[in-house]
Amino acid sequence: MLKTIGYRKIPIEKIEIASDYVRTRIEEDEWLETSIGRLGLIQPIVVFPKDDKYQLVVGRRRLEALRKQGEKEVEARIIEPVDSMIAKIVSIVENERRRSLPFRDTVTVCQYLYQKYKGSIEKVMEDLHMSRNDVLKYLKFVLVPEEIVQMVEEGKLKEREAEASTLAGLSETTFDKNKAITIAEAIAKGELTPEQTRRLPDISTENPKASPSEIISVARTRPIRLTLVLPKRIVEALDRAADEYRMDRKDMAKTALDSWLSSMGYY
Amino acid sequence: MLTEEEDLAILISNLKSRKIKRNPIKVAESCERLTQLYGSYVNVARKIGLDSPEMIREFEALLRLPPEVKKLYEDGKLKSAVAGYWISRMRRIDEDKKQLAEAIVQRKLTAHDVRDIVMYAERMHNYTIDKCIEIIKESKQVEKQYLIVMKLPDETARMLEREASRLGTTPKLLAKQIIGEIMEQKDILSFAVRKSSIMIRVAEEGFRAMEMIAKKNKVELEDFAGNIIRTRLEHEPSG
Repeated sequence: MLKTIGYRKIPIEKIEIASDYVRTRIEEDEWLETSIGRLGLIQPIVVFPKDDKYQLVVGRRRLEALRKQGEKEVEARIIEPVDSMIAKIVSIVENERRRSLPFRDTVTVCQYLYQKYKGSIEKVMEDLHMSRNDVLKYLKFVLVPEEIVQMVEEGKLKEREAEASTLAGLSETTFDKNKAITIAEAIAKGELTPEQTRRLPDISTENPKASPSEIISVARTRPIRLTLVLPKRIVEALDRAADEYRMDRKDMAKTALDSWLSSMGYY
Repeated sequence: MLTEEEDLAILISNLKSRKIKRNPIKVAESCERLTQLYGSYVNVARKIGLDSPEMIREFEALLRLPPEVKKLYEDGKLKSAVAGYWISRMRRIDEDKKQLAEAIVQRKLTAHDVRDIVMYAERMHNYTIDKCIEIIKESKQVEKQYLIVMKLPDETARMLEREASRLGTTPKLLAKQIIGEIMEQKDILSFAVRKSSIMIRVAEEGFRAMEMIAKKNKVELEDFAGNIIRTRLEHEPSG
């Protein structure tokens, strides 16, 4: 819980931005500038006192917009000092008109909360106002090599591409970091389309010994979608089995095929 | 200008139910007014009971689209708000955004297609939007094949075996030859004869042709091969 000391106007020049503040890149934001120019600041920024200055917790974009407009003071909510992790969490949750936040910070915060709540994804979702899928997406990034994280931060790679290339380097028991990085570099150069990138993890699972160039080459090949057309008696038998095993027909067909191929020694 | 209650009602009926009934630009305008009123996307999302503020953010992005694209929404030609959100994220000139929006209408691109095109176009700055669309569409093409399992009745299987033996060939080769007389050989990708079934793997054109012949002869697809083989061996024996 953040403890508020008070609300007051403070000099903009006295506000410092911590080097690990979550919003590390500030983009031009005409909407915010116009809005602040027209309506003034709707919500105060959040800071805490540090030595004889203030450290910013929330509101970097608002601060930059005011600074651009030549303002000298800003309305601030002053809170008791918090550590950098809490500041990151608050910033992620409270960042008004949230745009995509730096990838590494979101991953770090998701991991931190996930461990703090002993594996409760629901509590992480509540704390960060994120959907389940988003939280899971970030938790997957525990394995992502530093080189790939850097590519995401430099804007060379999207988060989902970082995920796909990392998973492409993962086999059942080991993680081949160099394979993941080589594939990530190929994606960054535009050698694969998003659709081809999405195929990478499956291709890698099916061909665990394939080199990065072999994986890329398979991903670029047009995939085959095989439709099974079966006689009624087989479909009826499948339905009976699916009913008994509480599966749907499609999954039952896959299981039956898999079991037959494996029992016949085809793989 | 709508009232706060009217804006809230629009958001609840369009976003909460996830059924966008109203023109997305009008919904976006309600999002913008409420965001200004409540101070943040998070507050608007909370007010209407959404888990995440993402949807509010995505809608509001539509207001940053070029006028020609907004017009496509207003004329009802463009309906997907998600597609518009992706176009708004594309850091390209308005002409490119307009071109992509028009391609959605003309080439029936899905929101997923648009997301992929935008992601690709962001990386390949020197490619035109048209080129990006072509590459993305091509990379999503899938080769369709069909593996059809057909019945081979015992009597037909015995006839096939006898005739194959008489001709000094195998039942599989003879069956394939007979089927090949009414279908293009190139369409048959693989062929197998088992005790009570015949399995044929065909490309899409082959499958469509087979369906047509079966329909013309008023037989079910599962009886197709057995029927043809039996008819051929009964009425037009080889050799």
